Amino acid sequence: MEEKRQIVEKYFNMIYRLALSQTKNREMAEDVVQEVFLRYLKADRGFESEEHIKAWVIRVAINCSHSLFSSSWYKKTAPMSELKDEITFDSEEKSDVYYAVKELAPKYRAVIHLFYYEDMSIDEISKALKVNPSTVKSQLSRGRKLLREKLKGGYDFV
Amino acid sequence: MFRKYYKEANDSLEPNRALIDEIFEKAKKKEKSKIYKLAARYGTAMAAVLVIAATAVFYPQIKNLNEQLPVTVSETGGGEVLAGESIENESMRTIVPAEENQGMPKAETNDAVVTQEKFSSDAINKEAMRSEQAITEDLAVTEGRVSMDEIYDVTDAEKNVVSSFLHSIFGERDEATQNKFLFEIVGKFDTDEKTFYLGRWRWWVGDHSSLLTEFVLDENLSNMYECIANGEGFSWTTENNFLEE
Repeated sequence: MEEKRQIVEKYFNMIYRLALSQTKNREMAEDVVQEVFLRYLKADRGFESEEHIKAWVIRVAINCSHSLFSSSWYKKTAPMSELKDEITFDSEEKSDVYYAVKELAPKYRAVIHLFYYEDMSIDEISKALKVNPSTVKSQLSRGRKLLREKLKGGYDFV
Repeated sequence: MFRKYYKEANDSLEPNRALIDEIFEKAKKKEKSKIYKLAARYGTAMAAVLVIAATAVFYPQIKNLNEQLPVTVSETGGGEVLAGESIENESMRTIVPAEENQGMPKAETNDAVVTQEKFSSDAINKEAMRSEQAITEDLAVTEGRVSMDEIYDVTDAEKNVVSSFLHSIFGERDEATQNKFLFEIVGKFDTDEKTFYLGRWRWWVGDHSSLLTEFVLDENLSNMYECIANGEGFSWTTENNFLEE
């Protein structure tokens, strides 16, 4: 259990921020985080390595975030006003880039977040999301294009 | 530049690390409830196996006893049923009356034996059914389940009454953290015995609220249990009544 606790502590922030990028709401992100790690603690499967665990929790977080919106619980209980969660930043640039990403479609948000925040390579993202590397490449490229349009070309995307 | 600002923006979003302890608490609770369910399931199976084994073990003895019974009756030659003294059921005494038994053809005597065997195995089966029923009743008391379709709306006035009641019990704030509590009443549903409110217990952490647990509270406001969303509905156990703690 101690080993599992170390894993939870290590990936807790990563999963929270990923879930937040997907759900756009702090409460919902926390719900996703709980669900992901409860599943991890319950999982009997043997993980081959820590990289395997990382990829698994990322995939579960993305899936949980998506299924949360379609769950009958949220349809019934969460009014739209509650889903809007305004976050303020100490600089305009941070606010601009954060909200520009937030406005993207979920599939672009996920790859943009993993590539630019988690510094994951295209191969790593494709393994984590279990999609073809070429799909990740095209989503990344399309996501960047949309961001350039939103941010009016004021940022480089290295 | 995009990467730098995006990283800084995300770095400033700090999650509530206390959630880690909550996750481990919940995992422990789930594990306990899993063990309980397994024990109940295996208990029922074990009871069934024991009944079958008992029937198999005692069958020859019951058979022998029953074979002796008509003989003893006929040997007495009168109205006394000696072997029948062990038969407590009055109706069984009428099965083999002594007078009739004296000239009873063999086939009829066998019928009496069969009836008595049936009585004995019926008694064992009834016992097994009673023990299974007890286990089932126990589970019914400790578990509940409701689907989303069964939940109906609650008026705002009712929500306020329930929320005020919960605040009067649990206070406005958590004593340790001073986080403000928020009780959200989502709806109501009926079980065979009671009507329950379904709600979410949250607290405010900084500028946002965080879910502590979902709960069911009976209409009499005397029992409140933690419940868990399971996709299509909710389930709960009556192990811990929050209102009794």
